Amino acid sequence: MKRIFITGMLSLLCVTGHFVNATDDIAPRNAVQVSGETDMDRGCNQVFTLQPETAFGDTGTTPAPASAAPAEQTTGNDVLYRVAGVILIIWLAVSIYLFTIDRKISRIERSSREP
Amino acid sequence: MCGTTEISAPDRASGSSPGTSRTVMKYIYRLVYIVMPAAIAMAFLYAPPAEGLGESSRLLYFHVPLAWVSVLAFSISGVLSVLFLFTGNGERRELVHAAHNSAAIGLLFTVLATFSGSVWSKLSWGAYWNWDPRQTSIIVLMLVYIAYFSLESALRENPSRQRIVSAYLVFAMVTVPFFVFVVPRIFPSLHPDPVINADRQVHLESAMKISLMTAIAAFTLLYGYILNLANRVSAINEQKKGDLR
Amino acid sequence: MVKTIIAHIKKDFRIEFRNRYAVSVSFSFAFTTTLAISLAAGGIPFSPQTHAVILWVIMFFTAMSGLAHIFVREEDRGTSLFLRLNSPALAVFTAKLLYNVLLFFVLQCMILPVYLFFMQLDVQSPLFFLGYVFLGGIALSSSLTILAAIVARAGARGALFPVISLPVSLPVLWVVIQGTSRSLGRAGFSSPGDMVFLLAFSGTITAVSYLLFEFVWHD
Repeated sequence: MKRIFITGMLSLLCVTGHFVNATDDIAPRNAVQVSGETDMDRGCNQVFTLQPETAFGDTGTTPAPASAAPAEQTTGNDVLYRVAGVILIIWLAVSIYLFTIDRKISRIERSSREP
Repeated sequence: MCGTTEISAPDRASGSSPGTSRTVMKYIYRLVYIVMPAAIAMAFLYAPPAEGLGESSRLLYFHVPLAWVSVLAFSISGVLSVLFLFTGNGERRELVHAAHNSAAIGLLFTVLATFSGSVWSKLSWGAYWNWDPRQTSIIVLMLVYIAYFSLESALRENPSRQRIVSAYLVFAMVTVPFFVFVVPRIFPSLHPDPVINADRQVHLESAMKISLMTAIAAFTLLYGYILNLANRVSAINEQKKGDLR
Repeated sequence: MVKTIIAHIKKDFRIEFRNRYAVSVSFSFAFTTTLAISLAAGGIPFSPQTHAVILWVIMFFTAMSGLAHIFVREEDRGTSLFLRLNSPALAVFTAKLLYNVLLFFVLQCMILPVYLFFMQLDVQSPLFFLGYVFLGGIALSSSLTILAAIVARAGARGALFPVISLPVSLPVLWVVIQGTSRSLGRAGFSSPGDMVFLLAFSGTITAVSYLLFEFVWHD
């Protein structure tokens, strides 16, 4: 149980670290402007209003020119493939671990059932 | 969900043996080897990014299933504790072991849900932790798990340990819905749980819905699989203790 | 059954009146904490929100120091076995529950004036303020009684009681802190919905405690 816990934590650390870097490539984060508004107001504004340029606290940035959009999309897709690949590798490791435990337990159960 | 607990009366009535049901469940749990990679692939390659949240919305397909499984594990722990206390005169020790295992797995998933939620919080709201009511409720769940394990270790020498920790878990199970469901309705939340699209409608696009459902199914199967393994280990340990006696 | 309950309550209050352990320890804690905060603040005015938070943190830890005593005393003196053999579990629990509710009510009556005096608190909606304080006290004491019975059977009681109590008390604390801060800050504030929540919580928890007490009390 302890080993499963540690594996799970390490997997998540790898995944989220990769994820944070990947989303940084897709949509750069800037620091959220601190104004008189509360966290709640800021959060509600970001989530509930159609302000894609402020979704990550990005203020005052101009939209990318049209000619750069396909290149950005390709880069975005590459990053997604990379992140998906990393997570699948982590899952492969976890699944191999679970499978070996399953087999060990099945072997012990079979031997305990035999007279 | 539990690999080694006794099967309920309807299965016995239909003539199927408990062993058959357990074997069937074992094979159902092993579907996780197929469903999980499918869920991961769909989360990144099939589902579109949400408007407003962008690519960071893909965390939805991990964070929401993790939170769902943490609550499910807690509920199952509570139900098993209720069954242990109110049926079988406290003799059905496999129920207590199953409740303990479910709580242990639930704690892992709660930690993962908190971690993934805080990453998403940083991406969306600019801070890892805002004491938003939903964030608070997941921390409360973690506190309940921690209290459960602390109590269990403090009662190590007590022969009534299993009954007392089961009673505590049932008690905590009753209080958590007050926090999880009532308080966020009283106080407004930053959580975008009803809104993914910018038009404030309570709906997901179909691709997102399918991806989310697949992810929830995958994580639920993963929970069931790990619980099944843990229960089988507990059963083996109990059998060895019985042999020694 | 009613006679047994009344007899137990009388016995517990008589013992408490003789040595005043729970009341004196809990009140001393609350008093010293209030003084320390007042001294540290040095006259700086706090917002109603801050006052509400500080007041309820003091109340919560006062409950931690005092409410477990009723069961811990029975275990330490060895009288719990006598109680188990001679009285029905429900009578024991009812007596201890009423004792804890009354004890916490008395403690709140002692803590509030001290806090209002040293922290120079100006209450805008006194009726709702008192309502939140006392209903919150009832909710806390009713939810913590069975946990006191649980923790009395365990080792490391002093540290364990807050650990197992906090998750259970958080819904109450959340609601009463918000309500108290609003009643402190706003004249004419009215929120019967929160009161109903506190009463509903107390009722539900007490009902569940009755169902579970047998399993905690008997071996």
